[in-house]
Amino acid sequence: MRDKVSSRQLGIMVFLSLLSPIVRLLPVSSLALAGRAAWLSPLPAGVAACLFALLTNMLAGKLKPQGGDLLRCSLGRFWGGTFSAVFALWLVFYSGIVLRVSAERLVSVLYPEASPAIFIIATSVALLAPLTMGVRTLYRAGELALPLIMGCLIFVLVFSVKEIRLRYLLPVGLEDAGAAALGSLPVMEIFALWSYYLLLSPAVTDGERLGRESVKWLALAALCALLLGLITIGSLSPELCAGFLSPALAVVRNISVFGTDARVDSVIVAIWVITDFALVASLLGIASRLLRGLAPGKSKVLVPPAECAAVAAVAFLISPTAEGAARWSEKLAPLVNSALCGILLPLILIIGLIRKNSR
Amino acid sequence: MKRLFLLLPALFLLVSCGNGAFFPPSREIEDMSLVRVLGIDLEDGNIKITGLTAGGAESESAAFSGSGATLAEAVGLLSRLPAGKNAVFSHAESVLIGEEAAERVIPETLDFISRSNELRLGTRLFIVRGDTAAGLIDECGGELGDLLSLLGENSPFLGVYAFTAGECSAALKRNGACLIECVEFDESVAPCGFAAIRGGEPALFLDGRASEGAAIIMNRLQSVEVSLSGQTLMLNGAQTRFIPVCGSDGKVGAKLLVSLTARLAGTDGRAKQGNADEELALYAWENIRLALEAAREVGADLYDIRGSLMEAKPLSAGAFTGFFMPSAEIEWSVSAIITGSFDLRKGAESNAG
Repeated sequence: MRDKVSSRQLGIMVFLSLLSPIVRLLPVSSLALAGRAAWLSPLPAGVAACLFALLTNMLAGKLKPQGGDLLRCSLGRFWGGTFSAVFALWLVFYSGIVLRVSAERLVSVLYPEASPAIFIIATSVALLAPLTMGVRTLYRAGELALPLIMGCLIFVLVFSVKEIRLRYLLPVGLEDAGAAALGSLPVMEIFALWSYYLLLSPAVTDGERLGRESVKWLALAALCALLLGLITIGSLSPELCAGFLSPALAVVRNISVFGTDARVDSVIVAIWVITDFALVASLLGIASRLLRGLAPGKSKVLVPPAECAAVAAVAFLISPTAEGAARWSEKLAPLVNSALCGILLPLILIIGLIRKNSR
Repeated sequence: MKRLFLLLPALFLLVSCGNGAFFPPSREIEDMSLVRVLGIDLEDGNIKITGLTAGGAESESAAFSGSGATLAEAVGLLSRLPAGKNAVFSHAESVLIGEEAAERVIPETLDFISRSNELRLGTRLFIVRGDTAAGLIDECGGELGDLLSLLGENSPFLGVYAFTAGECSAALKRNGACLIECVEFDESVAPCGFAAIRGGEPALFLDGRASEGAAIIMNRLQSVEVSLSGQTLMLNGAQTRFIPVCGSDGKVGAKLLVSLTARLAGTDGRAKQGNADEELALYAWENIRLALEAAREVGADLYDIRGSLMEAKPLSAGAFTGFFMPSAEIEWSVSAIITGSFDLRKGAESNAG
């Protein structure tokens, strides 16, 4: 039972994990494609993601036995093992990118004269705990962290809404539907991460509720992305927002609480580390499960420390500068995740169903 | 339980103090000096920064300077103050730009504030007329921070809400121009109109009545004392409403409806109104004309009238994307209401007493 979670816990972990790239990448990625209608882009992306989640869940339910391995069930032992390694290696690499970008953000806001090295090392060591304690512990911790993160979001929303100017959000009309749909592509690239959790993560104890919980938490993530776009574009203007590396952080930095100037951005950035940690820990948990299936005998116990060391190595080596690391996060990672989650995983699912039906 | 011990190494790494070589350098609160006002000038071709720190119970405010080829370099030099203190800019409320420096540093200043991890987009900008920023800081001393704050709040001071760095940055990107409030030293710091920024430098200064007209158009007027035909009025505020007007040729124009409220000074305790309300309306009408003329001379939508039209008709906002203020037809009408009176004589007696 240590490796089984409930649908609700899985949904919460997906939501917390999606918040990390949402805050990091939106709405700048959408602005480049959609212009002033970028704040609407999460709407079509959320609808598409929910429909895709329902369809994939339905297909996976027909194929994947409880506690089984989707990749091996679909592709057989050899190719299943090969693709398990591919996915695991990519998840470790992606986690290293996220860890580096998260450390750079923490350093730039809270410790401007420091190097991100200590934060990368400390987080890598801290990741040992969830990777060795069993998946249920991590997902239960996500349930406990949810109220804190939601409180943080509501706080930012309440104190930022007065800065919103209608003139920065308008005009939008039917003629902007195409632009908004184009701008939803980067949002879809973020929501695609959900596929890792649904198709590669451990079995859930209440599989019949998985579809419903998936839609609920994906919809909430889309709502958060929509509100983030409203606040950032509405406060800064589309033209100014497009020039920021992190418009969300710019808005948070300008929050003043009842007219007093307070460094609330420090508290919010510190709390936001939780979402980055949730993303990295959960993805590494999935990678750990895939790699344990490949590792022989007693060497399975070496998988978690090896993963933590690899994540730290990737975080250190991907780029000597913060801007270089940000490029990995903004350009390469979304493309690869979209390809793996939006194309390869569904393809593997379909192959598995065809093979099952042909037996 | 055994696995919980895996967390211990991480805890030992989570110390925030150090000498900066590996762990982040410690920043003790008593080593910090909060900079409240930042001044930017040019000196020998370099950018000179003057920071005015906030005073406290145990220390007085003081001014420190740094100079460099760029703003970032100058601020970096300022960060190390005498007596080992570190300048902290997160509470800087106002940035003053000297009139000479304004011709060169405005785009760099806005970009620096946008990128800074400490300065905020809500930092107010001022251009110092007839002096340098360092000179104004020197003349006003530690009170300057409070004086500049009062310029943006309801107070007896005559002034308007200053524009913030975020507003100026957004206006420059959207309309190609922006306004920055100007201040001067005249026994104390006082507002003296706006600078219209276009192409990164002041294209025009709006003084006196033109600046009042600009404040009325932008709904930013607080209070102004006006003398008309021997009577003194205190203009309490202006409400401006925009109505888009679509011409038969398809061009979009605008109509401004302005309503003013004021109080009249009476010398015998009873308000002498006469035609004071009509005179006030005419006075404001002329101010608006001067302000619009200034915008046309600059060649940009200085007051973001297009944005105001979009807010007025959000469902039809798409019709106004082609609105170009300098060539658009704009009508305006002003109405004024005298809502009460105040007695100048009693005020004078209380001062004498």
